Parts: sequence; structure tokens; C-alpha cells
Amino acid sequence: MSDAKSRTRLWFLWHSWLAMPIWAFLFFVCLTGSIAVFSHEIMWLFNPAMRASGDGPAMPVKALVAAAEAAVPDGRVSSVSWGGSHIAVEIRMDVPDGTSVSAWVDPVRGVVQGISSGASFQRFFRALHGWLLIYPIGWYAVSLLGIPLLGALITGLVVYKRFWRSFYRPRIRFSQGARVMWGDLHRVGGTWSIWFLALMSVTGLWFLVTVVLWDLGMPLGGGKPPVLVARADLPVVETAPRSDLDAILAAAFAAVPDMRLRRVILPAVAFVPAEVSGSSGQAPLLPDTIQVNPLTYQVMDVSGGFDRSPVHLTSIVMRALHTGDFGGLPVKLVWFAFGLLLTLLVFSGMMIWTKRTLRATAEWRRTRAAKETSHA
Amino acid sequence: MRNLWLRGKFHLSALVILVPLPFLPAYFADKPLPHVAEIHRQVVAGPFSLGLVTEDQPPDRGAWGERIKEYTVTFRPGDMDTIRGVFLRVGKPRSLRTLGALAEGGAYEQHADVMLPDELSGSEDLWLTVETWNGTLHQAVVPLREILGGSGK
Repeated sequence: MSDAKSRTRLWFLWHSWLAMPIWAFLFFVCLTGSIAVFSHEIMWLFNPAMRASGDGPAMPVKALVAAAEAAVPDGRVSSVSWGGSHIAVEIRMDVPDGTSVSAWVDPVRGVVQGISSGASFQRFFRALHGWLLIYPIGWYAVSLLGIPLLGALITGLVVYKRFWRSFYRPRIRFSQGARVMWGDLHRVGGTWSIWFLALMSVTGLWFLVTVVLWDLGMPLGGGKPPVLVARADLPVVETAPRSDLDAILAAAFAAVPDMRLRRVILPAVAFVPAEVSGSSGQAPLLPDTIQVNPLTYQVMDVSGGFDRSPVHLTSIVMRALHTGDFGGLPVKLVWFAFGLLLTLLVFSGMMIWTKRTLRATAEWRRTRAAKETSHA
Repeated sequence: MRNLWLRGKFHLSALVILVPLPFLPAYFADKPLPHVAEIHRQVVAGPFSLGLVTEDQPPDRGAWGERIKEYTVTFRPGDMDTIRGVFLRVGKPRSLRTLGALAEGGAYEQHADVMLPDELSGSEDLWLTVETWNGTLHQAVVPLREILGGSGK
């Protein structure tokens, strides 16, 4: 056997051994990650309360808030979120035991359609995929998978000669036995998901970087000092004045006119401004946040676009690229499909491995041993 | 047996799927269970009775080596209708501008990162200042060693 051939074989063995010992773990993470892409839509499907009734002019936000507060005794609104025209407005409320509940309010009829508390399906799947419900050990374990994933991509590209042919001449032979079929699936699927593999491993490794930074006590937020309402600007009254949410939104829209509204966070503490966030359409990955004084409705700060610390900016972009949550349903569909393809790659890799690599490894060892004896 | 090990050993990573199982009940509990022991104190500041909670763990180190301890303040229903904000500080605040770390969060539970001196003598106090909407200040004092966590150092 020539040296070049032997080297290819070694690359091939690296390719096989990178993922095989952990294949089931990788398979689980790929599968849960694919489902997590649509976790919000799956909730929407199973929970009629989350669905918006449809067309018509939306009621003022203060009417929606009033309806939500009437439905939850001692509930105090902490945020209002808009998920799109098909999803009801989510009004989160703090409740006396220190937890929070979500009221789903139809924006057109102003009716509370349901109240959910505790862990939602969406949060559960994100936690299961991201940290196996055990933080931070699970977070480290999952994000470290970026290394074998990236390694498998690189070695795969070396091993699979002229892989680009799979782009214009994909070939999957179903009639020549299971080994051939799994092999073809693995090669064609792998070639078509080069971009996705690279994206998932790099963004996955970024989550490793963030948890390391976090454990070292590095700030991951905006880096800017927090914007606070000055004591002198607060009225001297007996009880907390009510804030008009519609006036807060009007002030935010005056500052960023073409914004697609996503969320308003309402402070419980007088010194903290209300925070409106949305995307302005120019840079879908980079949301704008507008801080508004909740009593004078004066805009205190607008931050968005590239006006952020490098770490914060990278975090936002990496997260959006990892989850596919930046361009609506079409992007999510692509992410879901390629996520399943990645899951299939792991499975087919394992199938090929059990049918071939064990033998190949034994053979490579034998050749090397034979070589060493002949050189000796 | 040996054959089974040879064939099956690489499927053992499937056991990772069992890892989340013991955490499921806590995850779906109505109120998330604390994953470490906590210290609870009820403190009274003027007309307000507030809960003060911290993990029974030594203080954290910030990015620049400063010592930080996170405290949770809990409120009774209606308290936040008259409270503007709650501040926490080690040592008696000298003025309105040095009340300490502002607690942030919701109407029933807020969090504050309190800076600690590098060296503690053991006689320090944690001062909790409640500022109401009419500008009145109410204060509560707790010996720091009782609410520091870890070994109290």
C-alpha cells in the first residue's frame, strides 16, 4: 500500500472515530435541536389559546393588559410579547409566589384565551437540547460536541474525493444492499449540509466560549452602563403611578419608525426604564432596543445595529444563526430540514461504521504492524 | 459477553439520554427548586416585611476580581405599589447617592449584586434600604456573617 493511500486511510479512520464513540449523544442533540427549531410553532399547534383570531384592528395595548390583569389576581405585568400575526399576544405576569405566568390575549378581541404557567414546551426543549436540564455540566457537554462535528466535516471533505459531484449528480443506490445505501446517503447528505455542519459547529462552539466567559465572570451584556431614571425625575406620590403602555410604544416608534415590534419589558422598580425591542428590518439579526421613561415617555436610549460591544454583537448573531430564528417560517423550515439531515448523517455514519470501520481499523493496524516489522 | 461488549460499547453514549431524567420532576415543578441550599431571612424595614434570600455559597468573583454576592429580595402583594426601589449595601450608607446596589426584577422578587470588601472582619452589616414613592427611606440591618453563605468568610 502506498503512503498516500495509507494517509487517506488514516484520515478516514479519524473521520469514523470522531463521532462513533459518542454517536448516540450526538444523535440525541441533533434530534432535539431540530425539534427545538419549531418548538414555538408546536406549542401553537397544541395550545389553541396561543392562536390569534385573525384580521381586524388591534385593540390598544392597555386594554389587553387590563384584561390580563383582571384574569390573574395579584398578577403584575412584567412584559408583553408579539410573536407574529398568527400568535396571540403573550402577557407575562409576576405572581406572589415569585414565579410568573403567561396570559395569551387575542389582540383583536382583547380576550384572555388561556393562562400558562411553569415550564413551557419551548423552554423544556431548549433546556433539553442545550444543557440536558443540568447546568452548567450539560451545557459544556453539548457545546463541546462542536469539536467532533467540525472534525468530522473537515476529515470528511479530505476523505471524500471530488465531493462536489454530489451537488450536481447526487446518487443514492437503494437496490445494492444496506451498506451501499447508507454510504450513499451519508455522502450526498454530508455534501449538501457542508454549510449547515460548519454553521452548527462554529455557532455551537460559540456557546462553549460564552459559558467559559460567564464562568470567568466576564460581562456578556451590552457593556454599556445601565440606563437609569434619575431620582429627581420621579414624582413624589403615595402610590406608584400607572404607566401608559401605548404611550411608551408611541415614543419607541417615534425613535425607530419602521420597527417590527417584539417585546416590551415593564419595570417594577421606579429607577429602571421600560425597554422596547424589535427589529428594524435593515438588519434582521440585530434587534433594536429602546429605553423609555415609563412616566414621562421620554426616550432615554436607543441601541441597535452595530452599536454594541463585539462580544454582545457576536452572541446575538451566533444565537440567531444557530436557532434559525431570524427570518420567519421559511428560514425555520430550512433549519429544521437540515437539522433532520444532520441527525440522519449521525445515524447513517453509525450504520456504516458497524458494517465497515471495525474491519478497516483492524486491517490498518495489521498493515502498520507488518510495515514496522519489515522496516525493522 | 466479550462479543457483546465489542459490539455494544459504542452505543453506551446513549446512556446520556438518561441524564435529564432525574431533573424532570424539578423542571416541571410549579416553583423551580433551588439547586443549592439557601439562606432565608425575613427583615422588617418600617412598614415593610421583606424576604432576603441568598445561596449558601461563598461570594463570586467578578471580571476584575471583585467579590460579589447575589441577594434576592421578596415582597408581599401590594408592597411594590408604594416602593420605588430597594438598595443593598455592606456598611451604613452615608448619603442618598450611596445606598448601594439597586435590586431589579419583578413585583414579587428582585435581585441585587452586592459588592463586598476584599477583607471581612466578621462585624460588617448588610444594610437594606427601602425607598418609597413619597421619598421616605426605611432601613433594615442584618449582620453580614448571618447572610453571607459558604463558611461566612
